[in-house]
Order: sequence, then structure tokens, then C-alpha cells
Amino acid sequence: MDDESKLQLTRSDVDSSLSIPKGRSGLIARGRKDAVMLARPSPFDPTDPLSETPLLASKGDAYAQYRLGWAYVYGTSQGVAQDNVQAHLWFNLAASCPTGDSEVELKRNMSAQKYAREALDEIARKMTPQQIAEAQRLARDWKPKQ
Amino acid sequence: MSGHLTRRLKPEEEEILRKSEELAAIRTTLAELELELVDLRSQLATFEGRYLRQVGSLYAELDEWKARLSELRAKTDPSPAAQARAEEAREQARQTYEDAHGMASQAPDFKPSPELRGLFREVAKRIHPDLAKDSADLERRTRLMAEANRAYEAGDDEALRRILDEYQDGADAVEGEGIGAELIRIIRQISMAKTRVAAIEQELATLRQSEIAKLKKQAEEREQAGGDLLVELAATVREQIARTKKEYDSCAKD
Repeated sequence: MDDESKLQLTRSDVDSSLSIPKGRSGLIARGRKDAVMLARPSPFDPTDPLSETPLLASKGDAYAQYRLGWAYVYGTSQGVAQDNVQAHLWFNLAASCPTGDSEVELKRNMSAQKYAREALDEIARKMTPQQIAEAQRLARDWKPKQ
Repeated sequence: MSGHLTRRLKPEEEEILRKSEELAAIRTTLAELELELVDLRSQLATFEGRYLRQVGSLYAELDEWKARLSELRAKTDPSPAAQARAEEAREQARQTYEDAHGMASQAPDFKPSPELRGLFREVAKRIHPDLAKDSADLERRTRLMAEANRAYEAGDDEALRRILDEYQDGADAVEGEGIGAELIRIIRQISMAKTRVAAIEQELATLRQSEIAKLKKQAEEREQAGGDLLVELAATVREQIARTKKEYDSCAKD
């Protein structure tokens, strides 16, 4: 029988019902990304009084810096005014170098670093080059409080 | 009669018997795998339809607002970068709308009955293209198998019965040409069926690794935890829409 090569070719005729065009697969990936974001611990609750967050952030805790970044993105009723430059600064710091005294803390900070990088890209798109330069200058000059 | 039954088989007849049993077993495996494949495809298509209707349409709305915002900004900012951003955002909005409202969003819910599954198994066993004897048979089997896949996905058991009838009416039992030829034919069928088994397993693995399968898995995990991922995703996108609209309004005021 000389049909074996033809057999190989004809299989695709049967198997074509779930082909996802490139565009639509992008829309699905977008849902996946947002679903992952949903699964992570909430970075910021506007009703949260932030309590120790600014203090921890000023000492170099990446997770606190990431949360503080979000507080500046939206502004809070607890006295943090909306400020993209400050948001950029804190995301930038959170994204730079995760540290932690324990393994759990390090893991949490590394996760914050990853999300902070995404947030940094997002906030940068809403800023002028001057604002970004200012935020980067603040990050360069920043020193952790002892 | 018992003399007929106990007649010693010639070695080649014994071989044919063994190979026929092997072929029958592979046909069963193959039919099960075909069913698994069509089930998985249909479940993913159903889930994708739900996702596109519940969440995808909101992404389309979000991208529409983003495009409007970019266009509004481009009116006051004549820089090439702003113009390019506006064009890009408009193109993205068009693409998202097309993806979210296309054919895939119309996928109906898929809940095959045990009867339908049994029928499909039977069809797959009898008419699978990999079991074709010659090119004419192959062509017919391929066409019928594709029809069977569509009928199964549509839950159309009448169509599956018609396909079975049509195949039975066809010239299935053209054999002959002696035991040697028969043996070769069976061995080739086994080999092709094995190849198809491997191909289906590969395809199942690919489907399970697809983005839509992963999203479906996330939704199932969320459901086990008492949540509804698509509802939560929709809420997230609605928030993003609200934020973008707010931004648009404040930009329009300036």
C-alpha cells in the first residue's frame, strides 16, 4: 500500500477544530496574566492605614516599598497624595535588590521585586521623561534608614 | 462442528488471529483516545467561549477606552510618539474587539450524554482513517471521521448514527488476496494505529499546555476554593475600565 504518506497528511483534516489565531491567544494570555495577579496577595488596600508600611519601606523592605508604590499610584484617604514620581521611586527601589532576614522574607521580597518591575513599567508609561528622570534621581539618592 | 472448531490452525492463520486481536485492542485504545481528544477540545472551546463572553468582551471595552484616551491625548500632543501610541491603541482595540466577539465566543456549552460518547467510540473504532485499506477507503474514512468529530461536538447523535450507517453500507469487507496479504494489511494497520496513538497523545499534551487549558485549570482551582475566576477577572477588568474612563474624563476637561 502506498498510502502511508497520504495517511500522515490527511490527519490534519480531522484535527483542526481548536486552532487559536495568534491574536486571540494574546487575549487569553492577558486573562491568564490578570488571573495570576488576582491570585497574589493584594498589594494595596486603599482602606488600609498603611500602619508600619512607610517605616518598613524606608528601611529597605521590598514588599513594603512595593505596597507604598501602589499607595502613591492611587493616593489614600490616610494622607498619601497621588504622586506618580513617588510611586515610580518606590517601585524602582522594590525592583532593585531584594533582601530578607529569613527565607520566607526573602521569598516574599523576591516576589515583590517581580511585581514591582511590572508596576514600574506600567507607571512609567503614564509619566513624562522629566518625571521619570526626577524619580530616578530620587532613587539614586535614596539611602535606607537605620 | 467441534471438529471444525478444533481444527489446528496453520501458523499464518494463528498469526493473523493474534494480530487481529492486537488490532482490536489498539482500535479500542485509539477510539478512547479520539474521544478524550474531542472531549478536551470541546471543553476548552466551551471554556474559551465563556471566557470571551464574560471577560474578553470587557477587555474589548477597556481597549476601546484606552484607544479613545490615546486619541484624545494625541490631539493636544502632535509629537510622532503620541500619534503612534494613538494608532497602536486603536489597532489594539480593533484586534481585541474582533477576538472577543468572533466565532469562538459563540461556542455552546458542551455536555455529552453517555449515549453520545458510546456512539462516538463506536464510530471511531469502525471508521478511523488510520485503519484504511487503500486510498479510496482512506478518503471516505477521513471525511466521515471529520464529520463524526463535528457531530460529537454539536451533540448530534442522529448524525453519528447516519455516519455509522453510511460506513456500513459501504464496501468495507473487500479482503481476499490470500492470507499473506491479509497479514501484511493487519500489521500495517497496527503500525499506523500506533503512530496515531502517539500523535493523539502528543496533541493531548500540547492542548493541556495551551494558555486556554492553563486558564481553565486556574478557574477549576479557584472553583475548588469557592470562587469564580471569570467573575473575579471580569470585576478586575471593570475596575480598569472605570479607571480609564475617569482618566479620559479628566483629560477631556483639561
